[in-house]
Amino acid sequence: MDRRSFLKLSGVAASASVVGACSRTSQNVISFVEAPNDGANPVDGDWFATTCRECNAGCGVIVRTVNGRAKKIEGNAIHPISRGKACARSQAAVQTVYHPERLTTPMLKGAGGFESIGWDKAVDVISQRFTEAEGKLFYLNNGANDASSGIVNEIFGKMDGFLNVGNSEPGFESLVAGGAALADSPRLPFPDLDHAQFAILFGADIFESGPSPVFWGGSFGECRRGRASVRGRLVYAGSRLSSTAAVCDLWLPVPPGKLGLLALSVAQVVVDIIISRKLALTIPRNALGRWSEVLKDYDPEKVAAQLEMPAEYIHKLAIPFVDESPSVAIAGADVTGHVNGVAALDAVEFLNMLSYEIGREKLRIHERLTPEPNEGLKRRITQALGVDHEAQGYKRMVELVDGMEQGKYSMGIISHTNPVFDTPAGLKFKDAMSKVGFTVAVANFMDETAAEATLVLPDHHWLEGWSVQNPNFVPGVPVLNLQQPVIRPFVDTRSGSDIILAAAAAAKLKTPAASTEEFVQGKVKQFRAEMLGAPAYLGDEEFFRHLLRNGGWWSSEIENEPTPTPPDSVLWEYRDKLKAPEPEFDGAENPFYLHPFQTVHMGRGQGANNGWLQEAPDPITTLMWQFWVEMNPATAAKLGVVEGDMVKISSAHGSITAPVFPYKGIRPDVVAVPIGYGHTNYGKLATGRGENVMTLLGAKQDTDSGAHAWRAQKVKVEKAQGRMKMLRNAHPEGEYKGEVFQL
Amino acid sequence: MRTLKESIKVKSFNYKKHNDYSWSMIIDLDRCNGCGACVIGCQAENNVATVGEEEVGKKRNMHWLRIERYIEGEYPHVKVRFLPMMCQHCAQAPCESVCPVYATYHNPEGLNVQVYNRCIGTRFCGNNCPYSVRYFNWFDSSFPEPVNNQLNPDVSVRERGVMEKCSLCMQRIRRGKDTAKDEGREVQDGDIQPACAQTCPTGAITFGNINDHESKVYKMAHSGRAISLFEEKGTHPAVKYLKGGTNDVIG
Repeated sequence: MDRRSFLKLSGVAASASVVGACSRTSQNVISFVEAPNDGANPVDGDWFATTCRECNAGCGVIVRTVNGRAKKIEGNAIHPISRGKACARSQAAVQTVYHPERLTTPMLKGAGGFESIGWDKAVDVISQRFTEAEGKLFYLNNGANDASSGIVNEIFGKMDGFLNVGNSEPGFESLVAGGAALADSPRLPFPDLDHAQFAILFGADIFESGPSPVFWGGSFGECRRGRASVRGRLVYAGSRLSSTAAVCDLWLPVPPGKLGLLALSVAQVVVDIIISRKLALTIPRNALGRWSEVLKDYDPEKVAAQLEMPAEYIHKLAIPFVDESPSVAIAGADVTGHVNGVAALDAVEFLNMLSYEIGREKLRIHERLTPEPNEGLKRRITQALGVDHEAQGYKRMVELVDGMEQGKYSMGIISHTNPVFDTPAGLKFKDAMSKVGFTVAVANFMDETAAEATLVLPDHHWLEGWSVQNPNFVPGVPVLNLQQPVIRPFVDTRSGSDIILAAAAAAKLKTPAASTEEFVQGKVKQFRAEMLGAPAYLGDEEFFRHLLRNGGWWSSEIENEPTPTPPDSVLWEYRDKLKAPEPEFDGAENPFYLHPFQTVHMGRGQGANNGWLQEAPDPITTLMWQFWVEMNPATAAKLGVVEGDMVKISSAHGSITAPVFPYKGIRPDVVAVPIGYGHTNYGKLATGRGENVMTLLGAKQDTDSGAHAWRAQKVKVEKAQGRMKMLRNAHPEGEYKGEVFQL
Repeated sequence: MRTLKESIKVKSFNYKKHNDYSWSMIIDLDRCNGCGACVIGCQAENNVATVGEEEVGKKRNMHWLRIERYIEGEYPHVKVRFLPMMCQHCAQAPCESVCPVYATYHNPEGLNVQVYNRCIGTRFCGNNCPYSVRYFNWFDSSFPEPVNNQLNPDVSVRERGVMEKCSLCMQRIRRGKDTAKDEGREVQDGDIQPACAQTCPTGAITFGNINDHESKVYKMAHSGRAISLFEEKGTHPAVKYLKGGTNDVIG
């Protein structure tokens, strides 16, 4: 017998002996002599449904585990927000759960810095502080409406002096407040991009800054190529060509703070078209005449100079807005970032109302104008989990900082948010925080805020702990997301909310449950009767497990028909809201507008300690591991700088230096800087990488909502010493032009 | 002696007609928004190493899938385009013919496969690839404790001196076929999804069997929008792109 046939035979024998034991072919031993398996040897794994907590979008995900380790995160196909997809940040979470820098033990700050204490002592210390605080405490989280916030609210909510605050994404309050008069309750606007044929994005960086890049990605795909005969068209107006703008068919570089004016001007033309074409709407014809009168100041001819574009462009936006119905208008960061954000949002929502009137039969959902399905179930879920829309955002942060300055709080709990890093310099959060006697940071990693806290509690990663979450942004249906432990805790962490419950019980406070898991079960039980479509024959325990398998509960159908537009008398009141106030800027004497922006990878800075996210190229610049400032090539030439040269950007609040990335897709009077860089205490990968643009920002607020106007800052830019090699992920042989590929 | 043209015909005949499967991927450039979810999805699925800032500076990053970005026009008429680029799995692969040890070969299902334990690291294949989608391990890949807990057990970790590249998620193809066999049926369209196609939020990436004329990829490949990259090089890629539409609002 030669060697080859011997190996063949032994291979066959090996397979045969294993086949008897295993019923699944994928577990068979495969002979080396056969085809080399092409390098793959698939094993089975267990998949668990849970909720991604990297941001507050509330995407349902499924996680593959093998031998008790999380391997891969994917979207949950039946979930209404993620629709089976997941973003880069969500998938990179398997790197944070097995991150070497995770906190492993509770630490109390003593004279010589942090000292490890046991979990029992941590509970003792907190419970003693709970007793002393007598309700004079605050709870600050990242705006998540979850079990932790719900538990804290049920323990302390009724006490005098307690404040529950969400440090939510910039512009959140404006999005909620804008156009509220056209809706029946405050919530995030939800234009139906899926079914639109034409969309105008008013500075809406929907793929970068949320509320759910995954959801919007799916909507965009449907809008663009989801229908056989229709290719959805999109137009982006805003001062920088973001990756959202890149997929649009046209980019209009409108001056900062003028998007509301553009929206009103488009509305003016749309109303005129409706009148001249005698379109049948529910708005009475004579009323339309009145609206035309209200909007006459925004005639394209009158505002074109301010918008720095030919008047005909505005007509060319308005005509398809009517012709290619259904059409939608979406507002985002470039609108909410200015002091006139709510006014602009009101104008955008007015456009949406007109669009809805024109194409009412064709739009499936248009949440602004529909009553809440299930009669406010969503609102009641929100309230049951603590942080309501009103309890979130910058206005509440200002209230909190004022309270801290005045010594109103003897204790604070800061959970999974990093306000020392991600709030503007003008808020002075760090100074105020130092005036609070005892602060607890619940976190996975040491960061700038945890470093300032008195006690640091290492929390479970979201793959390891229980929670229930209510997404801020829901496509027309109420959602109750469940988060379950898909793996055992990898290091010696405890659930932050479990520790709070234990400490509260020790302090003889009334607690809603003995553990977070019990609290989650309780919430499911509380809302079970209202969960339409839920199987009634299951006992509570089985029902809970049924929901865990799905990843939560959501209404599968939109229950209600869209309501008609408000009656003319109500609508007419809205005319006072249609105005375009001039934007105001901090440091108005400076020559450049500062345009801080979120990237798809860094979030508000959480992604910076993740190797995968740092090495993933930025969509626009393709830079890796690097911080940069974008400016128009003309501006760079004027300053005498080329790619990689350092420039100093300064305002009254601070200054940063950054290497230049010349980019043609930005207005010459704007410089754009990504947020999330410049950590000073966030592990090896993040610390010292770039600088923090938040240190340049003042405390200007939206005049109506109080949201932080994070783009209302003007800055000086000057050439600085030094050069940096820019690490672009271009084709190694140089950048081809798109024409090479005949795109 | 056969002419080159004839030999191409023979080869295409073998792969396309005489096998059940001929895997293909279609990428709709009109849907791609450059978000990079596919890049991370690929990295998580295939144990792709990170190399750090210094090595990235030497263009040694290992992303099997990268998103190329093209900026066209002058301000204010600027257009940015994205193009996800991975191994094109060419039927006439320039990389295969130069490998002295047959580490890269064409499998019967139309995939260009890299056998890591045959590879001796000549890097001829990488030099010969017009798409620059082959990545060389200059160092032993670093998955120190506890990061290694995340590694996908289906895919081997490559060592120093070995060339690697996109496999169209070979392990998922195998699992898909195994499952279908267990259930006594053919693999159906949509059963198998590489990590990038699975995660793409906008639905730009579609994967399937182009021999099945009912499959989505077959229909898309014949939709009239389909192009191959560097068609003039005659590589006959299994990955095809659908051209972006240009529907200017302001002409």
